[in-house]
Amino acid sequence: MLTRSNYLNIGFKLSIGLSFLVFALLIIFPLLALVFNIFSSPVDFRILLSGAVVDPIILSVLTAMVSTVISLLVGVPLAYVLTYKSFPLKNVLDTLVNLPFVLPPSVAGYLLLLTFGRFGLIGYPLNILGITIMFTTFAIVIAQTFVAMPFIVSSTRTKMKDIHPSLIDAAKTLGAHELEIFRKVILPLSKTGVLSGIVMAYARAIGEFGATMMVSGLLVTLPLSIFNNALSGERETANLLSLVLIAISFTTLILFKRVVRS
Amino acid sequence: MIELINIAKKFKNRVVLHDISLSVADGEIVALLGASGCGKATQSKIIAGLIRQDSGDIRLNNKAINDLPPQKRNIGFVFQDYALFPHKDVFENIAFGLEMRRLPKNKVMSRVHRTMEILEIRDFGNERITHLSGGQKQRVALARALVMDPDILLLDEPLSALDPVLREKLREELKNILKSTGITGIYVTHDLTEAMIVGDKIAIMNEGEIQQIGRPEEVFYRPKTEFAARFVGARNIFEGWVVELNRDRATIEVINGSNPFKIYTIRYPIFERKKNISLCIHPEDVVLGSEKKDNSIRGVIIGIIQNGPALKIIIDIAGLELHATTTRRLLNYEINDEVWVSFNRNAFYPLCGKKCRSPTR
Repeated sequence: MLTRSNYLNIGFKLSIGLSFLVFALLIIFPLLALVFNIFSSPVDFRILLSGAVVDPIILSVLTAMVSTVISLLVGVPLAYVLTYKSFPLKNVLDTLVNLPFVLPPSVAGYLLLLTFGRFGLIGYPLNILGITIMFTTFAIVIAQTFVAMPFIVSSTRTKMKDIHPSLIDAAKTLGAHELEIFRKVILPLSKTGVLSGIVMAYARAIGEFGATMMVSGLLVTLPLSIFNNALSGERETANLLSLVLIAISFTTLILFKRVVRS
Repeated sequence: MIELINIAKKFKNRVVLHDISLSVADGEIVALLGASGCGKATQSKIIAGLIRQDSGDIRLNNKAINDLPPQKRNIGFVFQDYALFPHKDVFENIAFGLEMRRLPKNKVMSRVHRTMEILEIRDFGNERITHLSGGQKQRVALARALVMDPDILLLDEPLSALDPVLREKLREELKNILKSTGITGIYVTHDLTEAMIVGDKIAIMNEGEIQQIGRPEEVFYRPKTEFAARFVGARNIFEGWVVELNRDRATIEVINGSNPFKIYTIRYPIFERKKNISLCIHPEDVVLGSEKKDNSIRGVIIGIIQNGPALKIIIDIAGLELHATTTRRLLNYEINDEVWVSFNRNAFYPLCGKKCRSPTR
């Protein structure tokens, strides 16, 4: 006869099985579907060398690199200020820094249009000076930076918070000033946070779609190209581009895991 | 020489330090002794410039250093958790401060090596901090502070993270190292034995106040306040009033509910007829016997506790608890035995109020 404990055990095992099933449906099956699609008909790998594939890859890889560097240069000092400084409205700044995490990318893109568009808050005066930002490579970099930077701030800040205050006090009593403490104590001890932030920011930037679509104009990044090709029935190109993006994301995650483990 | 003059500090509405004044002469080590939360760590951080005092002055070698940041005070600090940089090896940790001073590399090398030799850690130069034992970390932290040749060295409970055996070994070594360098120091601790071994003087702190400053034996054998007395283990405190004063003797009636009793002490200058007083006697000055003697009272043994190598005997005297100390070899009694407790009248000494700076005797 089944007892209450047996029922609970069976229920627990069933729920684990169900979790795996959902995981398979959402992650493994789509990947298998892609592989099946690629190899269901003879693949012309020469497409990989065509401009339709190479150009979006190069554009995405380069813009993601630039936006990651910008995110790094802005995000680490921001993380430092948010961790170690006290000032009015600090909580507001903290919330604003994390806003891109929860903001729909289309809204992010629209905000950038309002700011950097021809009649935007910054775009208008720049336009008078003959500088156009919207629908250029720079606009893509801005959109990617907008969504990627919080990853660096958040990950760096977590590590900075872990540094024991006595280490900073010790550095002060040994004669180190603020910049030296930052360079010689805080930064080395937050290294893994910064590195994992870089990896996550790069992955987020290269896969950015919604905001980029609003600001890129005729320029086509890797995710945009997949979207365009899928809609226009160019399945072969969409398949190969998807494979490339998955490979990049997979490698990024492996790198992230290594950084975290170190 | 360092002087603290009327230092006060509040955190929000909580007063952490009241009007602290302390002077440490050149080459002297003062042990700041007190329980957790008494303000001793805050005081060290104020001296180092890591926390700013609300009022009062700090003078180092006769110059006010109130406005100097910690980087410019030349005050060494050994932290309770050592605060060694985990991303640097032993050599790099010790060299950190000298590099901040932009000293040439060869000078950094020679000073670091010399300090490592003094502290007998020259073989650990390339070791990572995480690979060191507690005792080794403590030496590295000390070396890192000493290599800077500081005017004052602050040590904030430097042995508290170690196990008791190592702590016992290192406190004497630490005293020898500090004395051999001739450094002026403030040693923060909650451990009486450590304070007595390392300190040339002891300052007993309670609730943000220094209750007594004196040589270790003075603080131990003649605590001035009730807190100081309890902290050094002199728990036999009698509340009473002066009944009679003779030329060299005072008769005190001890207040003990409906069972008051009389004891005799030498006459102290602060004694006045009918004046209320607190008297203290160390457990080792309480003598147990089976016969009535001069200045003795009858009691019952209610507890025998092994306290390290000594035995603590708890005696009930008409409802009042009294502590005596002996060794197992000398113990002739058991629990519930009736005994005569006698006191040498010279062994009693009066306590003053919560804080007393003027001599009471």
